Amino acid sequence: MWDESTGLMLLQGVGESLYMTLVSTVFAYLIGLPIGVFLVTSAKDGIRPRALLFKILDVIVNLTRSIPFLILLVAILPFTRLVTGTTIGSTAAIVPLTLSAAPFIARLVESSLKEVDAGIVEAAQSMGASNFQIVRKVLLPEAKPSLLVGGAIAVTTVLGYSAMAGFVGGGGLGAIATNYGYYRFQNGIMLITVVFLVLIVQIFQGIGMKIAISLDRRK
Amino acid sequence: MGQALIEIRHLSKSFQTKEAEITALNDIDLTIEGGDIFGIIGMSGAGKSTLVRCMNMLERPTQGTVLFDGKDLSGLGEQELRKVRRSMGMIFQQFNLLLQRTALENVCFPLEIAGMRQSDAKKRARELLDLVGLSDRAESYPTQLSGGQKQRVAIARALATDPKALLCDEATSALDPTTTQSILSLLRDINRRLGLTIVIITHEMSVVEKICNRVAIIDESRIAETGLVADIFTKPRTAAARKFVYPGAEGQAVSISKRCMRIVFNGTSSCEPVLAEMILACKAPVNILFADTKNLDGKAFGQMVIQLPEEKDLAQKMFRFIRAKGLDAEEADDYVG
Repeated sequence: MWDESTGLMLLQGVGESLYMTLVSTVFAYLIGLPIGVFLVTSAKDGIRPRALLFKILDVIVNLTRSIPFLILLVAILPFTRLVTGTTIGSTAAIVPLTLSAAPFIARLVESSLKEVDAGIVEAAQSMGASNFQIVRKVLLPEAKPSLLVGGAIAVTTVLGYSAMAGFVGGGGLGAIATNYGYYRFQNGIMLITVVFLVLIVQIFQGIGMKIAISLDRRK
Repeated sequence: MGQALIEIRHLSKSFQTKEAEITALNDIDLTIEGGDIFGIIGMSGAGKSTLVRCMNMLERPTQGTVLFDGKDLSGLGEQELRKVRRSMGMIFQQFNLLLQRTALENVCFPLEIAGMRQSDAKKRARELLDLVGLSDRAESYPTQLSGGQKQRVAIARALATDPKALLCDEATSALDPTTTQSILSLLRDINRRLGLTIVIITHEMSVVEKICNRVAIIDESRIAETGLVADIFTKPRTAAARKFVYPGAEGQAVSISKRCMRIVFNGTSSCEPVLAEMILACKAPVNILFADTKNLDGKAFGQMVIQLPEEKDLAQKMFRFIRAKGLDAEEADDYVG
C-alpha cells in the first residue's frame, strides 16, 4: 500500500483540498464582506441605520448559518450542477462551501468592525467624511488586524468543511480519508490525511496570526 | 471680531428612550463671535456635549436653528453639511486618532477626505505638525505618543482643512494639569495667530479662566448665564455660576459682614501665602479693606484689615487659622478706612 502512487494520491489530495478551501474562501469573502459591512452600518448605532433591512439580513444570516453543512450540500445539488455543470469533484464542492462560509464570514467581519471605537468614526464624520469613505478609510483599515485573524479562522473552518465534502464525492484529503480509511479500513492512510489536515490548519492559523500581529500598530 | 460666527436660536434637543423622552437641551440661545474663545461650562449630564455636536450637526436638533457664518445648517442635506463640516474642526477628550495610521497620516486624513492630492496633503500635514510642535514625531503611531502629544496631533488634524472654528469637547479632561496648560497655551496661540474661533466645552472653571474671553454656563439643559469671563468671575448672578466660581461652597452665597479682623505681621516668613491658604481652608471669600505690608529680607512686616463672612463659626475658624500661623489677630469691628 505504500508505493509511489499512494504518495502521488496524497499529494493530489492536498492540492485539491487547498484548491477547494482557498477558492471557496475567496468567493465567500466576496459575498460575506459586504454583508458584514452592511450589518455594521445599517445597525441601530451604525452610520446609516436601516432597521428593517438590518433585521431581514440578520435573520437570513442566522438561518443560513444554522443549516448543517451536509444538508446544505445535498439540498443545493441542482444549483451546484447549474453553476459548475457537475455535482462531484472539487470544483463542484466549491459552491456549497462558498454558500455555507459566506454568512459565517459576514459575522466574523461584523464583529471585527464593531471593535473600531465609535469615537474614531465620529471624528471622521466631524471632518465631513461620507459613509463610503468611513467604511473604506476608517472601519476596514482600523479593523485590519482583527479582519486578518478572522480570515485565518475562516480558512481553517472552510478546510474542515471541505473534508466533509469529501464524504459525498467532493475530492481532496477528505475523499481519501473516506475512501481508504472509512470504507477499506486502511487506518494508516486515514491517519496520514488527518496529519496533513492538522498541518495545513496549523500553517494557515500561524501565518494569519503572524501577519495580523505584524500589521497591528496598536502596540 | 464682532461678527457673529455661530448663532444658535431656540435650540432644543430631546432623545427618545424606551421609558421616556429625555430633554438634553432646552431652548438654547447663544451667539459666538468670530475670534472668540468661547467656553461652555457645565456639570456632566448638563447637555454641553450635545450642544457642541449640534453646532456641526453630528446631532440634529429637535427644534431651533444653528447659523454658521450666516448659513442655516438645520436645512442642509447630508452632502452640503459634509462641506460645511470641513470649516469646523473638532477635537475630543479621547483624541480619537486613527490607531493604524502614523501622526502624519492622521493629519493627512481630512485632506484625503476632501480630495487633496497625496503629495500636497503630506506637505500640508508636515506644516501643521510643525505648528503644534511635533514635527519630530511624524512617523510615530498614536500608541507611541503621550496624551498631550496625541491631542496635539488631533489639533493639527482638526486644523488641516483651514477651518473657521475649532470645537473642543472636553479636550483637556483626560490630561494632567501640566499638559492641560500646554494644550491651552497652544490653543490660545492658534487663536491669536490664525484668528480661529474656538469653542471649549469643559467642566473645569480653571480652563475657562485660563483662555476664554466669553463663557456660557449650562445647567439642567438650559443656559443659566452668559457673558464676559471677567464679569461672571467677579459677579456671578446665578447659583449655577457660583457653583463654578466658588467650587466647594456648593453655590451658597457667602455674604460679607461688618465683622473685621486686623492681622499684624511681625516678622513671619513672607514666602507663606497665609491669606490665600486661609481662604482655601475655610472655603469662603474675605474682603481686604486695608493693607500695608513690607517685605524685608523675606520677612513680612505690617498690618492688614480684612472683612469676614457673616457666619460666626466661619469667622472664628479664620481667627483660629491666623493665630495658628503665629500671627496676631484681633477683632476690629466697624473698621472705618
